[in-house]
Amino acid sequence: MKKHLVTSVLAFCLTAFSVPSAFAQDQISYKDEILMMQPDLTSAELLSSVQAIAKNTGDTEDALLKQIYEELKQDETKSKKEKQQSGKIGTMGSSGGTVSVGPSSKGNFYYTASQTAYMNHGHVGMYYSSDIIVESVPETGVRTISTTLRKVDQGDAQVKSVTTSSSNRDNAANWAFSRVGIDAYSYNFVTNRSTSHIGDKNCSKLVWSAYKLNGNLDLDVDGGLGVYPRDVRDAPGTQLVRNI
Amino acid sequence: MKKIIFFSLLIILIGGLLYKMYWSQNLSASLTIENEAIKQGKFLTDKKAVLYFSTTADQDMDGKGVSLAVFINDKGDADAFKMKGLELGSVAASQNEVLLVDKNKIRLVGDTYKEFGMDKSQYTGERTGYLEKEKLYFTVFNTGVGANGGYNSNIFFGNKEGFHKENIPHYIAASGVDQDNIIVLTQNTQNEEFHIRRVMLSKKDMHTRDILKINHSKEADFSSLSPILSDEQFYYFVGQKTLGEVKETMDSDIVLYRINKKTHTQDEFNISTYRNEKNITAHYPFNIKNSAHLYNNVCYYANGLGEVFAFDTETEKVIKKFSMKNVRKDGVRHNEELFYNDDQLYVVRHDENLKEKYYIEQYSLTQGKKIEDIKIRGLNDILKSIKGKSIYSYDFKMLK
Repeated sequence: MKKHLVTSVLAFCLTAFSVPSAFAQDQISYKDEILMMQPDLTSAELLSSVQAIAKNTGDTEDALLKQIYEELKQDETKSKKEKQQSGKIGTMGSSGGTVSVGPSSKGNFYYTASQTAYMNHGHVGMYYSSDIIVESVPETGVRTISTTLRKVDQGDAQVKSVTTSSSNRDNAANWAFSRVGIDAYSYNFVTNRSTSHIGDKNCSKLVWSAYKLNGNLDLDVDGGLGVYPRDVRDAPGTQLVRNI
Repeated sequence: MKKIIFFSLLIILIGGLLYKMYWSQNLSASLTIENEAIKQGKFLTDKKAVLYFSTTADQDMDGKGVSLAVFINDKGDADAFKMKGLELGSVAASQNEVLLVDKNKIRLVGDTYKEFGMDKSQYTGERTGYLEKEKLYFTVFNTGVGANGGYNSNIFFGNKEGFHKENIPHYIAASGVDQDNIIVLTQNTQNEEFHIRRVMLSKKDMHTRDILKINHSKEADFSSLSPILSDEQFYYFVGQKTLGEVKETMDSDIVLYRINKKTHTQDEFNISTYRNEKNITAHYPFNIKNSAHLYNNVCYYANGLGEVFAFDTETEKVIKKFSMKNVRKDGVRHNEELFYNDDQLYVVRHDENLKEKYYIEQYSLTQGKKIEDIKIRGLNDILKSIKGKSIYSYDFKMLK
C-alpha cells in the first residue's frame, strides 16, 4: 500500500510540477508548449508566422518551433532567477512598495517586471518627452501616459538610454509616438523580430522597431526569432540611467 | 486500489488549491463585497471611505486585470468590490451615491444600483467627478490617438437615467472642476504647447471652449503635479519645471501657476526648489490628482515628502504650513493617498510595524496639525490576496 501511495505521489508531482519539461516533450509538441506559455497567441498566427519565416530562411518549421520554445524557456528562466534574487512573492501590496517611473530624456526607455497569470515577460516603454511615455499595452495598443502617473514596483524597474546620436533618439521616439492609436496590440512575442514594423505590436517590438528604423540598431541581447522586454533591457548599446 | 485513487484525487485537489491560492485574483469571501450586497439600497449607509486600486494596463495581457473599490465602514472594516482593471481609475461621490468605473462598465452605487456598459473598453483613466447643478457624473479617459490622427480623451457623462459619450479632442495633462464645468489643461505633444479649456456638459450635450494658451518656456519641461483649482478670479495648478537633462539626478522647480480668468494674466509662484536631487520622484504627491485644495482663500499643496504648503491668495505668499511625520524620503510608496474636504486633509498612511499596516490621518489645514488617526482593518489582507499581479492605489475619498 505504501509503495502505491509513494508511486501516486511521485506520479502527481511529475505531472503537476514538471510541465513543460523534457519529460513532457515526447507527448506534447513544441507548438503546444509554445501555445501553453503564450495562450493569447493563436495557433493559426503562430503557424503562419513560422511558415513565413521557414519560407524565407529555408529552416524547417519544426526547427523554428524548437527555437521559439527554447527562447521562451530562456526568458522564463531569466524571469524566475530575477524573481528569486529580488525575493518577491507576488503582489506589491505590502511588500516592496511602488514608485513613479519619473522623468528621463527623450528616446530613453524604462523596463519593469510585468506579471500575467502565466508568464512574467516584463514590460518596456519609451520616453517621448521627459514627462510622457509611449508604450504598447494589451488591447489598447500603442498609448501615451504621464511619467509621473505611471507606477511600477520598486526594485524591479530601471531607466536605460541607448548609445546613439541624439537625432536617432529623437527620431526613434517620434516614430514610436507616431504609432499611438494606430498600431493595435499583438500577443506575438515569439516571432516579432520578423513581423512588420507597421501594424500590431507589443511593447518590446515598439522600442526595438523604433531603433531598428532610426539608427539601424538591434536592441536585442540574443537575437533569434523573438525580441522580449528583457532582451531590449539587456541589449548591447544600452546604458543604465537609474534604477527605479 | 480505491485508496490509491482516493489519495491521488486528494493530492490533485490540494495541488489545485495551492495553484488557485497563488495565481488566482479571487478574493476570499470574507474580504469581498458580493454583487448582490452592493446593489442594496442602504449599502453606503455605514461606509465612511472608499479607496480605488487597479492593475496597470500592461498586466491585462491575459484579460485578467482587476480593480478594487475598497469600502471602509464606520467601524473601520475594509471590504472590497472587485471589477475589471482600469489604470488611473477613480471614484466620484455625491450625496449617498458613488460612481465606480472599470474598463468597460460604469456603476452607480447608492440608494439604487445602476450599471451601464461602454461600447469600447478604456484602459487609462483621467478624472471622474460630479457636477451638482446639472446633477451629472462624468468620467474622462485618456483614450489615445483616433483615426483622424488627433488625440482623443473620451468622456462619459450622465446619471441614473443613462450616460452619453463624447470626445475631448486633446491629450489632457491636468484637469479639475470649476463650479459646474470641467477645466482641462491640454498638451499638444508635437509642439509642447499647453492650453486651458473649459468643458461644459448638459444632459445630452458637451461643448468645449478654448480659454488661453499657457506661457511656457520650451527650455524647461513641464509636468503637472496637481488638479486645476479655481475661485471666482483665478485658475490655479501646480507643476514641475525640469531644468536641463534628467540623468541620475535632477534639477527642478515646483511652481504654482495662477491665471486670471478675466485678464488672462499668468503668474508663477515658487513653492520649492530641488537641485542635484537623487530621489527624483520623492517629492511627487501621493496622488497628483488630489494633491491641491482651495479653502478660505488659501491654496494648499501636499507633496510626497509629507510637506503641506499654503499659498495665501490675498497676500500672494507661500509658506510651508506643516509636515507629516515619518514620511519616506526615497519616493517609495505603499498606497498612500490624499483627500481634502473643507478644512480637513485625510491621508492614507502605511506603517510596516503596525499589525493592520494601513490607517488614515486627519489633519486640520488651518491649525496645521493632526487631529486624529482613523483605524482601518483588513485592507492589508485584501491587497495581499491579489496574487500574481501588481495592484496600485489611484484614488481615495472620505464619504462622511
